[in-house]
Amino acid sequence: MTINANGPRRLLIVLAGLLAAAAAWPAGAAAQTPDPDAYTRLDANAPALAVQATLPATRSALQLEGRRLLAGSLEVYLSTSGAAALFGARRDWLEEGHRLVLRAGGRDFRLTAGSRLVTGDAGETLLRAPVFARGGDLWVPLELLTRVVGPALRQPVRWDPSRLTLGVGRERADVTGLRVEQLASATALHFACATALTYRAESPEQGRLLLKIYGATVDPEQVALDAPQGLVAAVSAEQAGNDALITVRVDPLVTRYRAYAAEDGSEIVLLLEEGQLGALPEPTPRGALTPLPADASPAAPRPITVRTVIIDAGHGGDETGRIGAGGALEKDVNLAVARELKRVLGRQDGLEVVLTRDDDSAVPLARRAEIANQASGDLFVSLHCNGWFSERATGVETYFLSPAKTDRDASVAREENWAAEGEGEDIEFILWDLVQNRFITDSSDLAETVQAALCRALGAENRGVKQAGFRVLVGAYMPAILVEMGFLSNGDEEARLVDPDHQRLLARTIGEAILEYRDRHAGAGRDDADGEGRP
Amino acid sequence: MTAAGKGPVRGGRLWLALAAVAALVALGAVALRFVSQWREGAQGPAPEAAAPDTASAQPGTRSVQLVFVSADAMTMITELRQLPASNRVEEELRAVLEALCAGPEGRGAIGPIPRGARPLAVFYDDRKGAVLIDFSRELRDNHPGGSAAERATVDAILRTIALNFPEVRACTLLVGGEQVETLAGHVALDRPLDPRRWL
Repeated sequence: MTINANGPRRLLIVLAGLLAAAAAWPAGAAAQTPDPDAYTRLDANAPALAVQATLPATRSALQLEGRRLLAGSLEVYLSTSGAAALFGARRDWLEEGHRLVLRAGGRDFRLTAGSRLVTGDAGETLLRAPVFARGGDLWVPLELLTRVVGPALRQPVRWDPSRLTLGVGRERADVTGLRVEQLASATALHFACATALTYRAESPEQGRLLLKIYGATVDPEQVALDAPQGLVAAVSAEQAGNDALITVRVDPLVTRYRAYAAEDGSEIVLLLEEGQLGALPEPTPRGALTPLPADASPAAPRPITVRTVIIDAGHGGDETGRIGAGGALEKDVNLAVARELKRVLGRQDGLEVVLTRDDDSAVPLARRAEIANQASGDLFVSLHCNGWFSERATGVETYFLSPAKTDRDASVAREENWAAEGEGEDIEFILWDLVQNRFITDSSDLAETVQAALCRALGAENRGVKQAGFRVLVGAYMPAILVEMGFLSNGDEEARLVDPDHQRLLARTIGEAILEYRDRHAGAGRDDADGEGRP
Repeated sequence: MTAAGKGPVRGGRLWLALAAVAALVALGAVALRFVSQWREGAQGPAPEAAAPDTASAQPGTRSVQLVFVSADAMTMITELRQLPASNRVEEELRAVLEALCAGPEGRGAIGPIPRGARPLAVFYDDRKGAVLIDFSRELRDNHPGGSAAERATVDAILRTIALNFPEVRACTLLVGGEQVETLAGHVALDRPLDPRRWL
């Protein structure tokens, strides 16, 4: 009995012991060696990290929320909603909150919460860390972007874990390279451009030249010269806001320089000349282009004689323009400064001044350019006051026309428009753009001159020289600019703009800048025209 | 004998009870472990065999970038939104523009679309990559004016289109069904604009 009775008991005890050991074993093992599963556990309390993402192709920047979701790991996770934005992807749920397809660039990436496996038309990839479900979204390790999505879409993904910055896509530069060409008594710097660009060369001091390229990005590593070559001592480039700024240090032997663009926009050439005698040697433009007479090139230097200045007081009549916080009307300020400017410039011998409106009348925008053309104007200066959505914005800015299309784009657009019948109007605009392209370098020079003078005289915030597709500048057969003299949406600036003394100061300053521009180009022959000078 | 006989019997029952408790605890532990593994499976690692299948997906959401501006009018600020995805460009474009009109969510950003303005109609011609967008009259009537503000309005619309719809090559903006020269006297709108130039 005892034996019989003890048999099952002992068996039960042994079984219980075995079960207890089986239950306890993994925990005990974990205590001795790292638990491989522990490395793939979700850390629900992982704090948010600010990941700065940049997309050079679109010059766009995004701030994304990242988290180190994996317990014991430094791997940073992004939500799929954030990751999708980097690639313009869309997300289709296979199972809400659990499985989804990330679709970008014609490729599919299927993700499952809890799984390390990514499948899709590009094959299967096993990630080092799993996808997690969190807050109604799936969160993916950055490895998915750097190892799987980026390569599949041929978009390099650069991740800097120390700075938490993420770059997606190729770096984009409009000014992409530099080639130095030695000529008999000159050196030509060829700056390769991805598209036709507007530029301005100046020499702020002896031995130094500045080439400003508007609205362009530059790759400073590609546009650099450390060792002297020919008449060039060094070249360096930097990104100055929206513009590319190239600094050229030149040999003291250099006496003259000239900047011009290849007619297809593929490069900007800075020619540095030694000595003053003899004709300028002709550098070879990159790419075999059919040389055109200089007059046919929009960027060719040309003499400017300023006899008639058109002053355009912005808005008028029912078109009040911006209304200031204190009730000032933009049209009134513009007209007051325009009349004063006419008085200032009218004192100059041999200078005629024409106002597009001399009273509170509404003049259509296209009519203003027509008035300027009929008066055979040499310069067109449109006066405006600025406005913003809040009090915060202040300062002065000067605009010249941004061509709606570059020459190269225009020819493409023409083909597209001819293919699509009945869109003659587009061609008309392209032709107007070509007209203003003819004056674009002169316009930028005038804009720089006026902007610098205003900032000096007013001590105002310099918001820079900019390009925009302003309607009033389209259609004038002359260098044309639009001056924003201050913000009526800012109380302090509004008070100044309605003050007659300040209006006189504005008129005097703009007038002096116009005269400075005129004198700089006065009697200019071909060799002294815009873009040229002595360094 | 009785005592001696009871002793082992009592001791045996105690052992039996202890063994049963141990077995229950062990079973519980094993069960808990399985449950916890099953629950982790939903959020944590799952067997690789549970890889995604090839089931067809329902149209979900699309991450889009909306362009706003900084309060000092110096920079553009991009915000992300999740919008319903569609197979029709017109529907997606309209949803994106409506989200743009609704304004920014982040602090420090300003929505440059005038109050009350909204897209009334969007037409897309995929052959030409041309889009025609008709905005309500508020886009012009409620515009505060000033070239900086006007540029911001046009820039936000065009750049938002460029960032999210690279296939669009020409964009014509109408106001209240009519072509307009400008919104507030500056930026020319009387021609198709190429959004790609806003990148």
